[in-house]
Amino acid sequence: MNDKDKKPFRVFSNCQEYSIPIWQCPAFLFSVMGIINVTSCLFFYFLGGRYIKEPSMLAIIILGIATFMFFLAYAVTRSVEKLMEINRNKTEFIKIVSHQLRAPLTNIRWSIDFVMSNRKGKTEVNVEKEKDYFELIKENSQRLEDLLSDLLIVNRLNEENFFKYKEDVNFVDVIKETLQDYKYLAKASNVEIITRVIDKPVYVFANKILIETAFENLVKNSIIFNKQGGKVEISLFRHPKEILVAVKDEGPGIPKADRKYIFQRFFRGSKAFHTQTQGTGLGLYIAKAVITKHGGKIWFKTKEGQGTTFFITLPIRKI
Amino acid sequence: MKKILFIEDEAVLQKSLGSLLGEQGYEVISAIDGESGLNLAKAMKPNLILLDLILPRIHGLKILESLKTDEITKDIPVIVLTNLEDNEDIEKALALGATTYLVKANYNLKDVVEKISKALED
Repeated sequence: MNDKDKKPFRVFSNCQEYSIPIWQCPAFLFSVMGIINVTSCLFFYFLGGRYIKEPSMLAIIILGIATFMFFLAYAVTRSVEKLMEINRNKTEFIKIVSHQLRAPLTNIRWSIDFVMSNRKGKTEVNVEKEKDYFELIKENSQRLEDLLSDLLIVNRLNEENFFKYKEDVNFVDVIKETLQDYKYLAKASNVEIITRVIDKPVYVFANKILIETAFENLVKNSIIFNKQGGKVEISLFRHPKEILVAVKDEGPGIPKADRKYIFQRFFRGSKAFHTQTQGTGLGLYIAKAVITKHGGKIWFKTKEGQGTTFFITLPIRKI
Repeated sequence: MKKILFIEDEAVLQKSLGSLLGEQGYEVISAIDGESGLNLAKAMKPNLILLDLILPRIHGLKILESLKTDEITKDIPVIVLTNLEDNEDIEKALALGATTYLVKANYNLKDVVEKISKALED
């Protein structure tokens, strides 16, 4: 190993860097093991002199310390395994991100290739023939932009500071603004949106941008994965301590095998990623992280062939 | 006229590559998922199949396996055209009987057309 690659042994900063608790951090556990080893040697030295005539007592003490050391070594092994798993997940994450970025880029490049080849040796441009390709370039650029925005959010989800800036947010306004933003997508997808929302302000204490992003992801999915001519029903209920929001679609429903992966990054689990081709695959992961960090819950009910309803709850802020 | 079945869910790739292949004198039939791809392969017995790996519902390797185990389609050459570049995927596809494995991002549209034409000449 190169000298530059050597990492200094700093117990606390290394553990912080790995983002794992101190009692699961190999550097910390190894330090504890070392201290216990040295202390036990000294302990036995003095204890040996005192209990030399009671070998059974000495054996019991040694056995006790050996058992403790055994459990400590087990903890060290587990923590190393955890670090390896984090590393493996990151590698997998990079692999999937690379693919997700590559797909729209290839689409853009091949569209440009086609347009260029279409113009080769011609003096007049066939605008009508090229129109669709420019539309597709635009769509795929948007796909890249969405993916990058989602990736930036995902990258910051573990930062406590990311959720620090909270304010009183009227959830009725969040619903209205989201519907305003998505009315064109709904129209283009031939999906009707129905709302059952009380007309009184309901406040939650939240980071407005993040909570809007989470809700938008649910609405966007309900439109994209709906059937032609389907409906999306958005309801808001006010309970004494929390609000309950339901987003119901008439899409194909979520297959049983995919349900446990639904809130994972890239809708993962090998099967889910390999067959998922629409969206960034990060929307529900972000939604869950944001809702949970705000003290709420998110879950869904689904029936294949009939549709899916996503529910979220958030604690009410009384003003 | 030689027939090519293109199993690909990205509309833009179907349109661009399909049009250029059409200009080269091939008949291109497109399928947007594995299930319709398998049915079309049996029904039209194309001279070549272009197969993406990431498709809705069924993974491309499963489709390749089905194509290569079916009496009607087992001898049709299959070119895998994907953006997955893992050694594991490449090895699996070739072991299952794919003729060629092309990573989309590594080629221009023109290069892909040339490779397909060459495969059809062989």
